[in-house]
Amino acid sequence: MALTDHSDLYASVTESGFNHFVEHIMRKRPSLFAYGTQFVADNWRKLLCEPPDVAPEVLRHQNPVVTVEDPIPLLGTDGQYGLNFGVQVSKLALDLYPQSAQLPPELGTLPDQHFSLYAQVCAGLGCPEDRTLEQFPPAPVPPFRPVDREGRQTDPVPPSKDRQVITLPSDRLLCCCLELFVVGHFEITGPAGSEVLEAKLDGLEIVDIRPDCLEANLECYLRLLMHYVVLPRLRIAVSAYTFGLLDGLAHVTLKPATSVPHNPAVEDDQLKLYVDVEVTP
Amino acid sequence: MSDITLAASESAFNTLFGQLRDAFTESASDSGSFGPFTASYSVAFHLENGSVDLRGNNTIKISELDIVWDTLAVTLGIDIPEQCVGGWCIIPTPFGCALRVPKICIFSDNPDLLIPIDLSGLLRSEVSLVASLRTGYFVDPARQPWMDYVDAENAGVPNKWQLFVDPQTVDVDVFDIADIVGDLLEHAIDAAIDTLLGFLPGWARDLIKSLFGSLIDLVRDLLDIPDDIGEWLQDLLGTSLGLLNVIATAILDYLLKDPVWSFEDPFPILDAAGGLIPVKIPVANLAVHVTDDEMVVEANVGP
Amino acid sequence: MINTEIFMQIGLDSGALTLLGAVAHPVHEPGPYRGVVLRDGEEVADFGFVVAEEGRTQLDVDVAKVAGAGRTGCGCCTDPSADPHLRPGGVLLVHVGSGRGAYAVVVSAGEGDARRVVFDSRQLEKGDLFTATVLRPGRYTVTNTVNRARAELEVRYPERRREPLRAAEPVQVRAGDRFDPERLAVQPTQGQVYAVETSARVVIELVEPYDAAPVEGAPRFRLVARRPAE
Repeated sequence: MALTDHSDLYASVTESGFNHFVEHIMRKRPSLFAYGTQFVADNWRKLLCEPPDVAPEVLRHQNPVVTVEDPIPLLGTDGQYGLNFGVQVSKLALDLYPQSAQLPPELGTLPDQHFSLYAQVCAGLGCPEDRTLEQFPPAPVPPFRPVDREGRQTDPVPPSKDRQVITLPSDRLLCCCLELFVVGHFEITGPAGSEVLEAKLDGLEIVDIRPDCLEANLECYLRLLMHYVVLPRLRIAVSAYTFGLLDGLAHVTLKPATSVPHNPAVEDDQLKLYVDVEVTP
Repeated sequence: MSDITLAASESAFNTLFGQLRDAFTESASDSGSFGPFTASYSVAFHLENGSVDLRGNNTIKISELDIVWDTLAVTLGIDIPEQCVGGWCIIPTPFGCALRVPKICIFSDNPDLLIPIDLSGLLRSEVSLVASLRTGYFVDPARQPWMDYVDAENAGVPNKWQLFVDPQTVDVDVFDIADIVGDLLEHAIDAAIDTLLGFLPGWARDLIKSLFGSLIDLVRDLLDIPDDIGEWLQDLLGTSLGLLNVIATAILDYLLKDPVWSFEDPFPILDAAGGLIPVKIPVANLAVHVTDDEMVVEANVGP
Repeated sequence: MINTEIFMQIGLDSGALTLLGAVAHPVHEPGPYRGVVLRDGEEVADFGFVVAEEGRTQLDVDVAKVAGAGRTGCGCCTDPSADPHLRPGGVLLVHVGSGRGAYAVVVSAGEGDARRVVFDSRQLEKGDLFTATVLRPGRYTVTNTVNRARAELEVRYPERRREPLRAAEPVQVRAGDRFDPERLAVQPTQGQVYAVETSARVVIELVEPYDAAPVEGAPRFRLVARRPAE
């Protein structure tokens, strides 16, 4: 049986090949997988829970290792104080159908045409030491004072929006890692002629977090992070999947084949793509 | 099992080969001396059509690839034999000529008659070839040792994997020359004589032509052309002037030099965006083989 | 190179030799002879030859070549170094090998005070021959300017045939009190030999050129109608 029995072009990547892909992406675009404050970004080797293996090209071309985000606000300080933090996906491993990696019971067995993804997510808060607290007094709160007959305070407090956030310093993050399993499938999306291969999330489970409500909240947040941030940035053009074979030629259009039951297909520990070639006169 | 497998069906490979074929053009010129005449040619040609057959012995056969002649101009150069007037006998005797008038010759120094013949559109030729597929790795000579893949992309000198059609045999079929080439040659000779004698008055041209008799017969005799002018021309162009060889060599050199497919290494899968460098995947151990149905390319993701 | 001069030669004159014409004079008396070459009436060169038993039957003198060699050169025949010996009864053939000049030759026998003119090509005598090859198709008159005898000559337009045109045998014409025959028709390149029987200077002049093959049945002469004088 020929690989192109049902299409003009066929492309497949094995599970281990895909994992090598992912390793390269993590090394060459580390900021997709690590987020933190500027302080953490500036000292990622020392502060991140698991300092990533970064490709030399990233550093040579002054690309960021950590995507900088605002400090986590200390609630009730009216925006005066914030905390350093760092969150990263430190490990990723893909399993293509048929299942070879164990899944938590909540996700069941890996369905046909699906993949599972194991991820280790580490996060840490920059918790300041006690002596630091002495340097940073609480936000000024006016004492109870009498008001005049018109109801005005005699000592008004300045508005909070004029104040800059003070990130309480810390020299380490309180790291904590958890394991995460994702089940998903692949789809071909996008306009005709510019289709992309995209991973879609079907289920996400964090291992061994208590209480359950905390697990549920974290799962919700991570699910949204995957859906809105990580997976959209991992879309691969169909033409890239076929290494540019016949792509860009005059009068030639590549289209996903429709004569196969699944396209892309996840089977035999491979991700397979079937493409038809349309030649216009 | 290789990390990456790509396959192209026979019709997809046909499309791939078609773009390589369509990019081919060649021009050449040469001349030779063949005793009583010289011949030169100036040609320009490209390729059209052709059918691709992938074969189970790891080869591809391309048949009926048409050679389309954009220019096929041949020029024959002939030494006109001496024509003289006079030399006749004034006083003949039974013992021979007692008194003879001196001869005056019309031509001296055996001038060349140049006969240009335009064969464009009258010649059909076909090429067939059997080839295997070969991979190659190209490092641009302009790439500096200190460049990483980002520098190389910015400088336009990325490394490349390349796939070549590697011909084992190239056969150029014998020319098929249209029958009208005989008439064409006759008109061309007449026109060439008129060009040579153009400055003379009409009666003088006609006189000289009458001295030659049938020009085509004259040229036939001088060039030793048999009854089938087409066959003679075929032989002159193909063998004597080596045009068949020129065609075969041109196609061979083109296929050896220009890949049918190539891609960057490392291969980009995420474009540069917002100042972030592109993400490229190194490809290692690229290998190709051919079956009856398809071309299969395998490779591994490199470190 | 194409010899264009021969195509510019229209008509011939035995007394002013040009390309395609030649005169032949038999010389009988042994001894040294001197020839003077005139071009357009002026002496331009001379040559010498000897009539002796061991000489040749025909001695060709290309007067254009002799004139090019100057007064001091021998210039006989096509090879100046050739032996200028003619046997008694042999023929001195004077012709023009190249160029556009009109030539005449005066040959004297003897030396010093005994020198006498034995031949002047400007007037041929009995025994001399004038040969002509006319290429230009057309109608010509042939005139003996000494006795006004006339003949008509037609040079036919060349036909294109498969076989090359081969010159027919030259026509023989007697140039006496009248020309015999009086009407000649030749192909181009076909020679004419005028055997002189009385003093003669033969002039061939073009009357009507043919620029294409003549149509069958067309009149040979043009009729010119003149308004009667009032």
